[in-house]
Amino acid sequence: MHELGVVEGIREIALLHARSAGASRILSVRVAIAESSKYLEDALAMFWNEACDVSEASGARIEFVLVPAEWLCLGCSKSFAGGREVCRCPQCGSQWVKPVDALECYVESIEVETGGG
Amino acid sequence: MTVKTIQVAQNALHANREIALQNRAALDSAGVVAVNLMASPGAGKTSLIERTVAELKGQIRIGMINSDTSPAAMDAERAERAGAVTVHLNTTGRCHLDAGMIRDAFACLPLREIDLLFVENIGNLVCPAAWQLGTHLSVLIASTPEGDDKPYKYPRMYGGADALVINKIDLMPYVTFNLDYFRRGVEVLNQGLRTFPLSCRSGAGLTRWFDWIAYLAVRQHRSKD
Repeated sequence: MHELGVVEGIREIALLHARSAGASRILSVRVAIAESSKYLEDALAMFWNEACDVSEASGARIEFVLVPAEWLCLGCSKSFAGGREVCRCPQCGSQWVKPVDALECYVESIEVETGGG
Repeated sequence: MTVKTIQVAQNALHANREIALQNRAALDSAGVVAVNLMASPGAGKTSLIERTVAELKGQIRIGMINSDTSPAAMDAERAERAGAVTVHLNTTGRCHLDAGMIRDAFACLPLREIDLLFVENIGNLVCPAAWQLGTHLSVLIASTPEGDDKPYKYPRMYGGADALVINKIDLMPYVTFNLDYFRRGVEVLNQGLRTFPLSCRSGAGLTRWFDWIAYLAVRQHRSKD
């Protein structure tokens, strides 16, 4: 149930920006996820409709873009690029690696409908 | 009708962080120091709170926000019997506390009558590390039966802690726990981390913990005056 809290955060950000722009409806939300993060698109998408069922975001699509991941080896202190499935440092072979995930999941943009015509 | 794209570029947990900042301000205003206690299930979060409340009763006033994924409130009841003011949060299956839950819990606590607030997070070494609550300190509890490899498996949790309790040291002769190996893993992630090896059952090592946590509460109270 970690994902429900995350999609609620995404919804709040989308609503804030949509309301500031005077939008009547949110059509889509584009979310960037670091490949090294623990967030899975399928799981987030599954909770999205539930989180948005009573707001201007109701019916909005959620789209994902994956950001290349950076990993740090705690054995040799070298950083390296990798995807989701990294389990060994390519330099020293250590399994003691961690993702560098300062911005692991963020709302990149939203598409909205405004009533002005 | 016009369709337009708005650039946002904001972290998904931004809203949570904003509420966490409000929580921190409420705590500071009331002169309360708050500790986010995190650990795997069974490591001894409630036992540590229970022992601390029993020891410091009469010196500092202690509150507890307890959380579980179900309505089962026996942990809060244990702390209450020891002398704490408690509130139980049922996360209804959610694997971590967030700042909004803490804000809601504040409404049920007499914050101005508390010096030290323990927030007992959900037993989990992954998700709670990502969610700021507005507490002043994150204390991680490890326990020897879990094994000595946890810093290597949960680097984010160990890397983000402000203090580390190693509970159940009385069981070390009976379990596989290499303290040097464990400490090496911690040191790389969190150099110089303040560590309290202790046993809530036997009482070994608890005095140093009591002194430190009482000092924090008194310091916070004075800074408010």
